Amino acid sequence: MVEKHAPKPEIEDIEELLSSFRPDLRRRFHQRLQFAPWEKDAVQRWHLPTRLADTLHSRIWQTAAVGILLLALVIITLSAVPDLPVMAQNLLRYLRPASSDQIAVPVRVPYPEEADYFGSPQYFSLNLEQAESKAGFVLSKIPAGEFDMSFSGAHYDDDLHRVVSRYTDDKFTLYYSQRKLIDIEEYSQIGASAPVQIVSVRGFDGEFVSGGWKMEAESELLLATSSPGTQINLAAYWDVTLPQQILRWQEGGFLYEILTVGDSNLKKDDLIFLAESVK
Amino acid sequence: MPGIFAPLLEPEAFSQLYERNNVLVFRYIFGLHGGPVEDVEDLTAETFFKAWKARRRFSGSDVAATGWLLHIARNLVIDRYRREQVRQEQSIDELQSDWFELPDRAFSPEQLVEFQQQFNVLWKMIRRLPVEQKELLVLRYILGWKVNQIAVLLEMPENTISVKLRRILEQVRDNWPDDQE
Repeated sequence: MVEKHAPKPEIEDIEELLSSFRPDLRRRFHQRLQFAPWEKDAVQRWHLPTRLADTLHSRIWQTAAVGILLLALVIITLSAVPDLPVMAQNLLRYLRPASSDQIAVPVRVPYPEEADYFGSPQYFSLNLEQAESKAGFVLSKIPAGEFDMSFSGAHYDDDLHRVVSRYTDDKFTLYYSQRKLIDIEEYSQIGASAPVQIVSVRGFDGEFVSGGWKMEAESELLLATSSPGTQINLAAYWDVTLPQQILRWQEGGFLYEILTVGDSNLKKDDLIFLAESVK
Repeated sequence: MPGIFAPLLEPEAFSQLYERNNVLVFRYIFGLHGGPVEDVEDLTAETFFKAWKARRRFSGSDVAATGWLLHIARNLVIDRYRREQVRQEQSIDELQSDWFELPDRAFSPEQLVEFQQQFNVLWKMIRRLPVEQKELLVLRYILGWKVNQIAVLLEMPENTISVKLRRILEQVRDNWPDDQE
């Protein structure tokens, strides 16, 4: 069925009809894209990382929102911070306390088609040889097998020149990352009261912290029930009892990190042992 | 292999590319896909996200970058077609008056109605055209590109572009449905 009263046009009329069509993007679209990873302002507005923005765009994140947010909040905060104070030989404070133990995270609820990111199986799709080839530097290997963990994929992040290898156990996951130090620094925001311990790793000073950001129950509900594209504020607090540990150190032009998430039997000394055993 | 020179590596450079091309890509997709506008916006966003992820593999000029974006957009639209064959036959948006820049001549209310109805019919006809034909119409008229620009993008002789456009327009005119259909 076609509309009535649409007389047959001449070719010039068809050209005119088509040339008159000038739709424009709606405000909703611009709001949606204002937090795209190429919008640096968005990162500054959020006080949150590009990588986290990517994470929040994730379809996977939509379904496993809580865990990944908590993970992302802790491990991946990216910012250019050339003025980070040098605490000691070779040590930058990569774990930076927030002003309090509460944090507000403004996010836009992601659309399904948006980037598949952190936490998705595709993210850790490489084997170590492939990751090394992409990275262009020699990967050090962590002897995870000594703790009965199985390698379950690696990811190369070319923004940060970083390879993240994932090892899994029945109860927890270990992420080992090696990042080439370039002109951009990375730090993780932690709670104001989080006790950061300075530890010795391979003859260098390193940092260790346990605990993590946990989303408030109301925010979990809000996230689960909000429509894609909606701008919402999530609230999280620093939970020292959260089963999560980070060990970081810098060595030979690389930043290394071991992160465990989940109920792990590994203690701080075990992480240091793993770090000392890296080859 | 990534290009030796990757001009879009930095967020600032990519942001400028986005600012220069977001409306153009949106209109291109609108013309190829046909709507509704929500789907077109989704595809537009997806185009830029894909380009962002692949930015290291691109090297070239601003013009080449626009062509690269359109290439990504085109593939996304084709993928979407394949997944949504049924929906393609469904009705399109209510056409909104602010989507049109009317020619510089006075329209009576009746003429405006006729204009809109003609466009509705035309839009449905275009949706049924092969992508290659739609793309030519979109580039030439909706984006307002010159034939030589299209020739560069599609790597075809200018004369070929002109002939094809003429034939498509004639085809549309000749197949225009009768008023009483």
